[in-house]
Amino acid sequence: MKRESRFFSYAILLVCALFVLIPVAWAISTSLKDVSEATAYPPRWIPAAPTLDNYSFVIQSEKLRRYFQNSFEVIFITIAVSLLLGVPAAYAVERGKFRGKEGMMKALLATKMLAGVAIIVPLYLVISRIGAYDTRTALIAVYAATVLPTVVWLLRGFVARVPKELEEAAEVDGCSPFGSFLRVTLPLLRTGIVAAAVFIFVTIWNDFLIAYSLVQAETNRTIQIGIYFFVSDTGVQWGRMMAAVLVSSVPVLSIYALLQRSFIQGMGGGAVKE
Amino acid sequence: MSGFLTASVAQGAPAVPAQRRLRGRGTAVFFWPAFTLVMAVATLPILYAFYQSVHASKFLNVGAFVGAANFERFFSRGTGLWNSIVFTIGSVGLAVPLGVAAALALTRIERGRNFLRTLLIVPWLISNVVVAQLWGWLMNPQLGPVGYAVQQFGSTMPNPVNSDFWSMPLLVLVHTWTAFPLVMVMTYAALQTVPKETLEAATIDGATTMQQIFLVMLPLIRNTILITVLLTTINSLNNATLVLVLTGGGPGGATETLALQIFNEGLKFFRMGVAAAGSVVVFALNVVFAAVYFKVLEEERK
Repeated sequence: MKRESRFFSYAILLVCALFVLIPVAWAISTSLKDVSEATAYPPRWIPAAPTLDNYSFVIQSEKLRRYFQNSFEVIFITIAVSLLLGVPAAYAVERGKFRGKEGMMKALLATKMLAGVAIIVPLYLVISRIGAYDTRTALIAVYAATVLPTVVWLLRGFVARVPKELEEAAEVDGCSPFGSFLRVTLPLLRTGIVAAAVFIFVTIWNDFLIAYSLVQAETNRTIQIGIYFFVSDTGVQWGRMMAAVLVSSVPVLSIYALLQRSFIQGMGGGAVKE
Repeated sequence: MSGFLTASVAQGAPAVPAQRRLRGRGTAVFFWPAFTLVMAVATLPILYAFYQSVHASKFLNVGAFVGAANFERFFSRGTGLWNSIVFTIGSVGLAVPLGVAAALALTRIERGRNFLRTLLIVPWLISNVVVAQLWGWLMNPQLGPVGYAVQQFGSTMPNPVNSDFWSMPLLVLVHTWTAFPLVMVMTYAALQTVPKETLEAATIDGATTMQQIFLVMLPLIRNTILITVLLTTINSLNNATLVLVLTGGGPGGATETLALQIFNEGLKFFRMGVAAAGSVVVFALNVVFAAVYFKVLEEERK
């Protein structure tokens, strides 16, 4: 590779890296300042007297803790529901023969592209009219429906990679078909299931719109709603605000750091091959 | 091999019907629950939106048939369509070239590649609410570093969030920040499929780096780039959150996109007929772009 070409590549990446880092670095800087320094002029990148007060405020805030907990609860139930429905569906569509399955798979994919913001208001109306507004059940059902197309498509790809011969061998050795699925196929789907769970976690953790339109009570608020209302809850205190914003991003960032491969597989919906 | 095994199982008789249950027609039973839930949540609201869009509304209830009145009101009350066009073209125009350039650059370096790739994906992980807060604070004209830098050049910066002129460029810039990593990841993955021999052949034939990129690599991954354009378009059209939190659609509706206009009409002013009309409009646009997306995807599979 030519030298100038490499130099040019690094220059592009440096610009991108600065673009990515500047807002984050400024938020970290602010989160470490006390009130007077956060509003000081001229603004300083490096805090003169760094403090963790903002973080202790955020961590001790009952409300934020509630929102974190709500998000975790909703996410774990959604992961369980989506996998209970999604794993059998993926297995059935890959291994089974039934009429119209490819058409139905395309329909699943289509809902992902078509629904978008267009279903938000009518969804609110339908959910309200059946009396399910401001319930976690409705929220979880809608979340499961939102993530399932990706989950089924993703897992189908993983089922296809499990050799049929292995399942058949287990059956010859006396496993029932269900037993062979449980003992042979399911363990081999581990990577796919982790990728699906990561995708579900990130999608729901970061969702604002669906939660905002389907739940209202403060006791039902998820983390993004909490962050949105943070200013009206605690007044404009930029240090606290930035600490809250950064802390709320920690779960997704740690999942990404620990499970990068699963993350790319999951978020790419199986479309991005690594 | 598999033929031999199934044949031997078939001779053992009782295993076969059970096996058919898991691998034959009966398997549809396992597919239906997931499919039904998805279709119910996706299609019932859309059907409801179509119905509500041509009827008057009184809070949650559907009133008399009003024809196209809700659509007229939706378009006369705001400039959502125009703002969405600007927002979408701006986002695609910045995020796709930036993502492709970053992906190309990543394939041409060795040292630090994994680190940089990991770092550049970060904006994709951060929620739109948080992204809006980060940028809103960074761009604060009195307290932020950008406003300060502008002052050092002897001028003052208006608050871009409330500026008639700057609010839309800011929104596009911030959306680019969250949108380019997806383009980068998809393009980078596609570039791995370009055969080394093809590039070597091009070099031997005397192609410059620029010629290699524009005449060999990019044409080979044309469909992937088209897909990233379509995905970014659909994401721009449907993003209400970033706009709501960053500018709230202001000032005076200058950044109220179609998505935010629907949100405001429905969940702020509770004019459900008008919001439903807007939903139908966005749905129709999604259908158009999704149709192109599927066509490209099909071509790609061939």
